[in-house]
Amino acid sequence: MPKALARREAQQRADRLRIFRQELAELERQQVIALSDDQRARLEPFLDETLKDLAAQYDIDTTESQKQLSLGMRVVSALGGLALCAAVFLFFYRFWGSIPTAGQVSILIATSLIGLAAMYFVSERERTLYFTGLIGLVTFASFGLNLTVLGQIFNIVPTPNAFLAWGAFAIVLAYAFGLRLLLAAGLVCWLVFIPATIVSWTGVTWDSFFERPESIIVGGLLTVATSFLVREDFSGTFCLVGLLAILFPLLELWHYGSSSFLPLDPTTLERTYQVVAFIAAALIVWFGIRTDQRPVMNLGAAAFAIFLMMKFVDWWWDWMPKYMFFFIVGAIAIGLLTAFRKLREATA
Amino acid sequence: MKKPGLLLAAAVVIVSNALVLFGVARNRAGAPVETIQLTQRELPTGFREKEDTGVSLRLNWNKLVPGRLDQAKLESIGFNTAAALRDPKHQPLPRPAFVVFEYNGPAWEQWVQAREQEFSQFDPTVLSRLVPIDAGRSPEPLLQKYSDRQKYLIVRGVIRAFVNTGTGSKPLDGSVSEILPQDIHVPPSLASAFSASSYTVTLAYGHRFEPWVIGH
Repeated sequence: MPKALARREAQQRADRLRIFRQELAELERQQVIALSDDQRARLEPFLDETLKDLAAQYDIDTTESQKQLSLGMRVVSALGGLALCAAVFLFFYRFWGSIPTAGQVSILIATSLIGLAAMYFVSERERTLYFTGLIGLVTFASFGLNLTVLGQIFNIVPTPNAFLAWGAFAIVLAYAFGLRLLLAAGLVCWLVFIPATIVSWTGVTWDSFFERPESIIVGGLLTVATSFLVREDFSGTFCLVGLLAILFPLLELWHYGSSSFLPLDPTTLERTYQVVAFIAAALIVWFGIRTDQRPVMNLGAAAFAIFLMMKFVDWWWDWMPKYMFFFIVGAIAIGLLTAFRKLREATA
Repeated sequence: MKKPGLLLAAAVVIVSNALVLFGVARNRAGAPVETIQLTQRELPTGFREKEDTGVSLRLNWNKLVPGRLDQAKLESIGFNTAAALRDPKHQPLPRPAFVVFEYNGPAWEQWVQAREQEFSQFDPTVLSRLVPIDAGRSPEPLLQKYSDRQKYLIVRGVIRAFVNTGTGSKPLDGSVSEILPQDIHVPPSLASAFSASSYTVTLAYGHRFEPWVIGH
């Protein structure tokens, strides 16, 4: 079992044990249940030992305050990673002009390789992977800088192939260490490579893929489809990144039908894509509920709300008094809440 | 999983760099396809931040001289002009092409004469003398047609086509929107020459039409 997955499951078990202990205390206080001294003498050491073992083996959080601190550490490691990336970039920027070309090329290649060695070294000495993740981000940025600056030094015409290499690098590292942030970065790189390649097949410049959003949707659909084939702890990241790559282009096509590949009237295309956007958002909510993926369901619900709001603006903003517009939006929100409440009661 | 993953990531780094360097070697193998001498007017130094110690030049062409890419030329580059004219709301996307620039030639001189007649205070001495005069999908016919290597420069570029929805004389117009690459890195060994206010640069283009500075 991958280390990250095992750690997540260990954390889930520790959370369940902690809640069980709290609930048992509450039930005893309400005199619903009463453990005998013998049962208590066996249960308490068992809970303590299990939590202690899980903490020793996986470095998980066994209390609420530890969990909050871990969240803070995750935020700090992401910010630290970004700051270190900026430091690496600005360091080269400052001394670049005084280094001969062969030295520049060697430094660029060596930086990425040293980063990989540092990841291995640090991961062998920690169980939480905070520092490994941080060094992973810096190494990914170094490889990004490597190919970008190499292209600048030798005046190479830019191609989308660099995104293929960056994506492969980040995804390989993500799989090696179980790092989801690197996985998302790698998927975004491939979500540039796929549409850029598709539009370049039509003979236009590869970087104009933003002007043909359907090419991004193809990449998004492929990513969502891949989420069913990958390991369990990564499928959510695949799914979320893929869905975002479907929803954002739909948002563009909602407004600019003329940017479609299809040679149809832009207004007709805009209306068609508006319907598609609503259907897509509803399907995402349904899929999120069915597969018990809360982030996916939330994404679908947020997209549906944004699309609905945009439609209201299209319909009413120009001719309706502003107070009336917001009053109607508020009334619809109350109506929806009532409907959801009834649905909740019905499914209880 | 950790060790094989790291080795695979290292392989990605090494193979990517090897492919880039192989491409560079291929571009610069043998004699350059083009060699041209330009000045600070066509190759001014690029914008530099306070802490930036690298030097680059920016290949500038004269954007004030009207473009000469008519409908037939745009079609030869691959634009579907009939579809663009039929449906002006779907503006065609930019296409990569090889662009011919005339250096200090008749196109530039005619334009300067016309401006001097129009404006008494006109000073052309700071403007780039590179004027786009032709474009094509592949470089070979252009190299044959424009064989004077000191007068013509053929580079990779991006062409945009515009449908004139107003009352313009031409229904469709094309122009150079970008040169690839536009910023040209100066090796550290040659960088000191570009702190002067005027200089000449010898620029070479290889088999992949990627440039490099060979002297000043």
